[in-house]
Amino acid sequence: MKLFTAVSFLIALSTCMGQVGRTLPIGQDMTETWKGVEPSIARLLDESGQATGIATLIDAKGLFIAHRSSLNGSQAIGLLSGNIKCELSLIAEDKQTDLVLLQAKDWTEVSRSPISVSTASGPKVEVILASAAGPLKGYLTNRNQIGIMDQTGQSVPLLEVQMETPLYPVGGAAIISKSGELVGIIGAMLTSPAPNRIDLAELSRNNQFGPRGLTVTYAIAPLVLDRVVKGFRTESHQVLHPTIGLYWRKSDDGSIVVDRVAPNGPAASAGIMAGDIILQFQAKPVTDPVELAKLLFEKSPGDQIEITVLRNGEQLKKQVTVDVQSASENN
Amino acid sequence: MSRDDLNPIIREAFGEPAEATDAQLLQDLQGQYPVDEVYAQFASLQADLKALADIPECQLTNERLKSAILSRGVKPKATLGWLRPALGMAATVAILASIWQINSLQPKVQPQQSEDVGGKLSPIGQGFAQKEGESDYAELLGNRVAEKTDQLHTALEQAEQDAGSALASQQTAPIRYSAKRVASRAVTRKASDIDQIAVVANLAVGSTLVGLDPSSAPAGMSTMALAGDQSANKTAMRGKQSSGDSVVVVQGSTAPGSSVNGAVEVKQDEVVYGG
Repeated sequence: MKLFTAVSFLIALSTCMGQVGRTLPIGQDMTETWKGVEPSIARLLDESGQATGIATLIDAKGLFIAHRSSLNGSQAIGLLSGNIKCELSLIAEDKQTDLVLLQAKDWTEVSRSPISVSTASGPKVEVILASAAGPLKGYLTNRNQIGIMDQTGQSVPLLEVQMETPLYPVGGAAIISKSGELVGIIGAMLTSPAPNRIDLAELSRNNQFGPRGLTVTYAIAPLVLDRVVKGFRTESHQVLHPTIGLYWRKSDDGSIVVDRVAPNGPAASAGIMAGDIILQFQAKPVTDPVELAKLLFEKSPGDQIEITVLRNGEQLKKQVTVDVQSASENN
Repeated sequence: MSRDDLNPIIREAFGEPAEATDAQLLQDLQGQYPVDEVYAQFASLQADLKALADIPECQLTNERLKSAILSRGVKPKATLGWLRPALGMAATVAILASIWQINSLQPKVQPQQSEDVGGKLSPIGQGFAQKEGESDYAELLGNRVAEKTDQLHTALEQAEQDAGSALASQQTAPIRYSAKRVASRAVTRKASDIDQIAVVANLAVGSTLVGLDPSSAPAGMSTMALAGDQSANKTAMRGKQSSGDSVVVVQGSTAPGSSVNGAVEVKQDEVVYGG
């Protein structure tokens, strides 16, 4: 029995080691893309020289965007192609998305082109994941998820990216499309469920979980990423996310009920109260909480919204002005 | 206890700002109702819902829990009020009737000294006399009285409970808004899962996962990601969950073995959206 256990352990260990050491190749066409974007990607090194993540050049002035998790502290060394090093300092942070802006000190690498933000679509699009471990192959799925940020309670559109590299440090990796544009930055990874959430029926049909399974990650969708990049590029480096300070959920009877409103937020100022039933958005009936989230994604600060609510049997029309979410706004 | 009466207790239990009149209201209520018990029930329900809810902690807002609790209705221990004297009188009458019934047996028992006395006994006394004999009869009779008294007490307790339930059901459930119970539904489902957790844990630890009978899967379990050490198998997850029925909650904590935030998929109906 002990021998069996030892052999099993060795097999598992060798499997993991094999995974870690194995670099999944990107396709030939993607290799050309990588060559084009590689000069604009900086590997972030900490004081000891360990790679902690990557940053992507978004402005010719030496501004790099990265995920907060890619940075230890507020300083890093950026290692560029050609073994060029630069000092990077944190100068702005967007708490809504956990993306940060880094400024290169004495930036002279003007020949390196900033990467623009774009979307990639299709049922399953192959992309490059520019990670601290090098370029990796990944796939954008067509599952455009709605995400809810724990820290702020805000809904955000997410991209889902799958990869066959379960043991690579893909956090903070830049998602590069075939055309060499920035599609997203990986900011979250699907975690193991609690034991009672495992579906045994599925488990019996799929023997794929474990080290050889897929990694499922999420990135802020280009709609929001573009807003962040544009905000970072401004003089103030501030990102202006729209908000109406409204929190809602689905009730048992299928209606959308206001869970709460942010104090002094636009919804509260318009007179919307917790417990109100949302009937219409811009004079169109809404019954799906996800649909309402998507409708709000399309709004910008300053937009006027008419929301019809039901309170004590009475229909009330409320005019809400979309405001800017302050960085400190929280649950 | 009316809804207006409950409001100051609710505000205190859920940490809401107290209104100017709350202190006086609570003081007035103290003399009439078990305010402390009601408060304790709200507090414990809140804790229980948090413990049982099958959704991330960050999604369990005070507002949501309150809505769930209030829509389910809290039934504080009923105060019998004017029914208590009536029940007391009924109990007294019942006890007296019982004693009269027992006393009425005594004359029939005493002729037991004659030979045919056994044939004249009432069924109860006859049974005792035939089984135990005269010397044990007094003890057995005492036991019988005790048994009767116990039955009465049980009946009284049942009557009190019934009366209490009736009173409680007459109390208007304190539904403040038209919001239904979202969290409580999750709790209901989760409660059915709890019994299965041990089974699942055993199976998950076991080495023979493949080949399990799919029908053995607990019916109440939500389909979530299947994951390995540091990854999740999305293929497996999608068996039941179509692309449209889940949302991703991006957590503040990092995923195991990764520097990025962890994420969990939650059913669309079980989350609070913000915008």
